[in-house]
Amino acid sequence: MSRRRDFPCLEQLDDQGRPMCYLDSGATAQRPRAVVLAEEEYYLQFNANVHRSAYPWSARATAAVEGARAKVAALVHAAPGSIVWTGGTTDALNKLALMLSGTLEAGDRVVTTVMEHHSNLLPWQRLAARGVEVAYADVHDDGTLDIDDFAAKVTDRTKVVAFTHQSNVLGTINPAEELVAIAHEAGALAVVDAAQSVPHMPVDVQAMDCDFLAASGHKMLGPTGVGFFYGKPEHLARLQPAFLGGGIVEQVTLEGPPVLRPPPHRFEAGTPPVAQVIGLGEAAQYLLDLGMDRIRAHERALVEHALKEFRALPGVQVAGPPDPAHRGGVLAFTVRGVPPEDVNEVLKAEGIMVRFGLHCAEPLARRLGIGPTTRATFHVYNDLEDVDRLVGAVRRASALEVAA
Amino acid sequence: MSAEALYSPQLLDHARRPRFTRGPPAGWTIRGTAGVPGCADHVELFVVAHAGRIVDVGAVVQGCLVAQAAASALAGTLRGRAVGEAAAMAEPAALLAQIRAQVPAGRMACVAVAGLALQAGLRGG
Repeated sequence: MSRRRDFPCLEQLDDQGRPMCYLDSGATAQRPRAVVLAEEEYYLQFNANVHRSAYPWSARATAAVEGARAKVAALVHAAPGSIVWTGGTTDALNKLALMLSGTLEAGDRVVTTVMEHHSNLLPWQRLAARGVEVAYADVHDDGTLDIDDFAAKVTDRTKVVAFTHQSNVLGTINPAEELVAIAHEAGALAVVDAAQSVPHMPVDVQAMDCDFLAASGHKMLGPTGVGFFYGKPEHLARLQPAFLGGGIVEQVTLEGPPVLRPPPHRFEAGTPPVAQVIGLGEAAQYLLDLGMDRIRAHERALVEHALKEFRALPGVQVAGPPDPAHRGGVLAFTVRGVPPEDVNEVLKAEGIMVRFGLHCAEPLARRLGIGPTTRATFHVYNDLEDVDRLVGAVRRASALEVAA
Repeated sequence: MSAEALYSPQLLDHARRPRFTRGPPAGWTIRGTAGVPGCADHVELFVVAHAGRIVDVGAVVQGCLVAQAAASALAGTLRGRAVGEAAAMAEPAALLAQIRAQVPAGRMACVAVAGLALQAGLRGG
């Protein structure tokens, strides 16, 4: 199903006349032409602020932002009113931690996991200064979550459980419904970091029954600087916003407190990133049109092929679950005797774009004892040829082996 | 730039057969460390000097092949030199000439890190 032709960046050739081999979508995805045009259309045809002004451009901008909300809502099977715009997943998780912190007392517990991105660790760790205990569910050596340990750590003092739907390093797809059920059984709220899952697989917040779920626009073929969180309507109705300002109030007096607008607007202080939101709506529509089932099947086929080829490379070790049924299109690996910086140098020379390092998940690297890795990640525009180029380049990189 | 131009036979030879003693050599008299900000490269360098002459160089190198090879080239150069000459040997250009590698500008810090460790040691830290 490779959709390269929809992505102008990928239509270029590199300085040696080779097709672009972009395998860093886990960091940020490419944008289809439709997303860029949607943003351009706003800036060139109806650039105005939303919700405030009563002239046609503003009305059109408002309708476009609310239309985007409906598209993003459809993508995750939510009601539009339960989608809140943010600056991205990091922004969303920080806001959620701030908002939920008001409901936590000293001695309460937050449970997360050792496979989290720093963005789903640090906002919760900060609560420890207020006496909130943070516990971390362990992983098995194969990179799957230790569900028994998770369940044991979710005590009846646990108020919030925050976990990633898909690991950005291991590709591990966590059983979100099961984890949410464990949280609910203990009376805790479940926050899902879906930055790596919403762009790549069907995500249904109703079926998952999560309380909150966050994702980033730029990983789901949309613009940078925008993202969203989903919140169950009953939570959004009672939570206080983390930030206050224009756009979220119905009445303000000097005596205070303000009368807030209903959700989701009460959580969106200030002018939203209008162009980016419109672009994100277009990206959601693009994903819906392709079909998330088909996207998942496509990436699964790529990762299955890559896993098979990588297994045949001596000295190459792939992190994460060996079964492609339990992992997304993420391939983090080490090459024996060749530091990741040098693996990257060989890949770069062959026109392959990947990332190396700890991938903002330092505790995970330490727990698994793998240190820095080279990471290739796939999306709708990648194909088997990209995987074969990667495999060939890694084979050549492995020839640099230096005995430790 | 091609990978072959960077990973020259000389660079790989230095990385595979380092001219330094692995770890701290007995009786070391000078020790210095240096790291590359924003990257994993870190070098701990040890010098054994007798009567003002360098008789052995030890190192613990964590990092890429370029950093490993440059540390080896530096160690090979230092042996037999007067301690007073050592600082001049740490120049990246001199190390590059030995490893015969075309190193991109973004990775020159990897070439320099062993020399920085030596200079730190000569300064007394």
